[in-house]
Amino acid sequence: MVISIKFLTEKGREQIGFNYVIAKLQVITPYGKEELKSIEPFKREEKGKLLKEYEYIESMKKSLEKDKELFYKILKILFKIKDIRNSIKRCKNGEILDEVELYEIKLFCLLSEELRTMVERLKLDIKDIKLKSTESILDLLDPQRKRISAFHIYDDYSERLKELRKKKREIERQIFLETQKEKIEELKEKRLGVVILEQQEELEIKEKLSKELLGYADTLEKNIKAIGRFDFLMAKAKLAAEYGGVKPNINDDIKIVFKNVINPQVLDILKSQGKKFTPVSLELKKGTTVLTGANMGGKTVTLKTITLNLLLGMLGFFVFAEEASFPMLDFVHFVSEDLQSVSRGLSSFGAEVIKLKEILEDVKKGTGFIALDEIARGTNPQEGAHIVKAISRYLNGFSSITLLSTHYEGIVEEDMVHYQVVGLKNVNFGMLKQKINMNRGNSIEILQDHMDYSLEKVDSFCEVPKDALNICKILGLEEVVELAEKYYEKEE
Amino acid sequence: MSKILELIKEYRTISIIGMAKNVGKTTVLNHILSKARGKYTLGLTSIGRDGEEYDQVSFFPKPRIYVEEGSYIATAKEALLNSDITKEIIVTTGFYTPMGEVIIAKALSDGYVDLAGPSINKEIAEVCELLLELGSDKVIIDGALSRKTQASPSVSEATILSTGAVLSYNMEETVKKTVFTVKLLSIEAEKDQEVVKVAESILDTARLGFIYKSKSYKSIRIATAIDSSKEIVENLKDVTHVVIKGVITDRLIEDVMKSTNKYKGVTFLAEDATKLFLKEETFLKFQKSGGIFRVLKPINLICVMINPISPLGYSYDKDEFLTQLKKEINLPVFDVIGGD
Repeated sequence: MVISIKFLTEKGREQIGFNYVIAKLQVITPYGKEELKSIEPFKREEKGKLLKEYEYIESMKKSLEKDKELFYKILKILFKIKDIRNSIKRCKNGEILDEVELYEIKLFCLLSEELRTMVERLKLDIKDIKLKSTESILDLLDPQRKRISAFHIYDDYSERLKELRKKKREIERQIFLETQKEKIEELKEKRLGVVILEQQEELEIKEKLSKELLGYADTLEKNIKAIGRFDFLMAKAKLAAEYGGVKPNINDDIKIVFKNVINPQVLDILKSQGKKFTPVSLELKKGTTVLTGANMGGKTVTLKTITLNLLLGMLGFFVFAEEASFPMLDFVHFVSEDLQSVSRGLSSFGAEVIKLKEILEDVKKGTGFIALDEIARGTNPQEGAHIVKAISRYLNGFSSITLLSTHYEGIVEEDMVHYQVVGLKNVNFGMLKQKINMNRGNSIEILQDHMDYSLEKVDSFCEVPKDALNICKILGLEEVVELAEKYYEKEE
Repeated sequence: MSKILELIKEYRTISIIGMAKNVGKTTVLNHILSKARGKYTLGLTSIGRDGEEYDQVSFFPKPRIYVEEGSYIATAKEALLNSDITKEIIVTTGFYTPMGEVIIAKALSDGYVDLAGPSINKEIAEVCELLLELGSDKVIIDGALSRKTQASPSVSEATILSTGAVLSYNMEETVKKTVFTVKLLSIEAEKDQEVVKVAESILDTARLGFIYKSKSYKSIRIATAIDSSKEIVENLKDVTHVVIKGVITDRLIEDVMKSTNKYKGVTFLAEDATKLFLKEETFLKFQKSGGIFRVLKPINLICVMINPISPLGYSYDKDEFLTQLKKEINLPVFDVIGGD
């Protein structure tokens, strides 16, 4: 897969769970795999094409639900399809195809015919998956019209071949009946002479067949493309069905709306631990949106989820949400330190700065989406806060959409949207503390269970919540919390 | 019915292995093919590919396999296209060898075929199944007794050992070697099914493992078990079985015997008997001192076929050769060419 780094780096795609989603795609044929390998984000001027792709997935998805049995049959055929691209290439180069290659082309045509009738029965309005008839190719490779996949250089191809084989068979009969060693050797020598002639004749026939097949190369290639498209669209539709994907709306404003969007990778990890993923809903407009909230509150997951779904959407996949709307995006960026690199301190900050510079170039040229996950968290808090504030204000002036998560106070300005993780806001602390006191060993888990991961839009001047202090309190750091609260009073 | 047909009557898959190159394995194969002519539809394949058209040591042209019209063969594409039968391509297998994908074809005429089958047990087993499904009454596997392939004759229901004068100028020497090979190949399978299960799960992930009385076990992850004597010696305490993946050599067994006597009463489990590359001396010494060899997959040796003529230009007294072997081997012994 060669996706431009304007749509995340390979590392970034791994981080947000994109590779996980791709690995979940059930692409079956070598041709479907080729389609997957060559995916690219749709460009601004390809909006119509992108919408068409969504429509195709939609009708494929509906059809999958409706014609389950037929799809099962189609699946069985797809599993039998082999790669004949090299033979077509050789044929085009004027080379002579061998018996096995001719067999494979015949098999491909037989399967292609079976698929053609089945796909027609699906009555899908998808131009790309229309298969062409391969009957004329079959007539060529199946002169006896038995329509079975076995293939040999048939006697029907040439009278001379038929004669030679008859002669060969006669000598073989004599060899079988002969008991004298020298006579057998003599007959075998004679047989070899006929074998050579047979093979010469066969070669001439293979050459003729290869030349004739050249005239059908276009049909074969069109069907290869159609099968690849069908396979890939089916995989996309199945994936959407598996995780609740929906057709996104492409808007002409600069806004992003997600209702209950999820991240399959995180969802599956939580599921394996017996936990649930809290879907995310938010609306982002042109400029900067700031996301604040408690530690452990899932801010990074939110950024990953939004980025993942936008990337998928731009690549022509359904998005995993109840509703989704976004504009055509010229780029999608995601900047987040992963935990391992936190210890690298300045070097990771340096990498962030370099990435930010790239982003600042991109926002000047187009409209895209930028997710910044607690950037500059490794620097000293005062400098860090200033940098984050400056970046969010600067990006607020461009016609791109930035979603920035931060711990720092005072980043949000009046003309920015501010989301907060609900966190422990609505929790009865007395009860929670009691629960934890009774079950010290699982305190972190109990805390996570009470964490509300949903987002709420708050006043731009709403303070960063003091959940950190609350967490300290609940986990038993009362003495320190008391002191800390005194500092707060002083500040005020 | 000929003796050989009588012997293979009840088996669906039969492998033929040779003690050495030029021992006359192909002659044996051709003998069976000619006897089965008109009686059985045969499927043919091989474990990997056994050498070149000309033997690289002796430069003798190797005899080729001559099949009857109607036979099925499973062989690599390149080898198939080298065969001079009129060939019908039935199906491709998706198994790849250095000579291309393994193809199943039907012989539409008699003729010579070049066999180069898969060299992985699981693939051979699947190919055999396919050949039977297509209509072969029996499948003959041209086997190998070498370190080069991972696959072994244990995949077949019955195995024929081919031996011949080429092994040594001295007939007694050849008899001795053959008798010992028969002994090795006939090593019993481990009977405790629980042990077999544990051993198989060890071999799924490791090349060396130890099983204790309680059937608990320990796997050792090493690149190869060939040089693992140190690991074996260190771990022998309270062990009932040592499970070894791949080849077991003289050096390994000797090193173990030199360093400890805790191997006494311990069973050394090989995947199958073809993995034991041991001199008779080592084998006997180990057993005499209380070591035990067992295999996971037994080989069902049904007979020994002999060739008293060496392509190097000498031959044995055929009757004497037969008599001596028969005296020492508790299996049917035939002379392929002489017909007894």
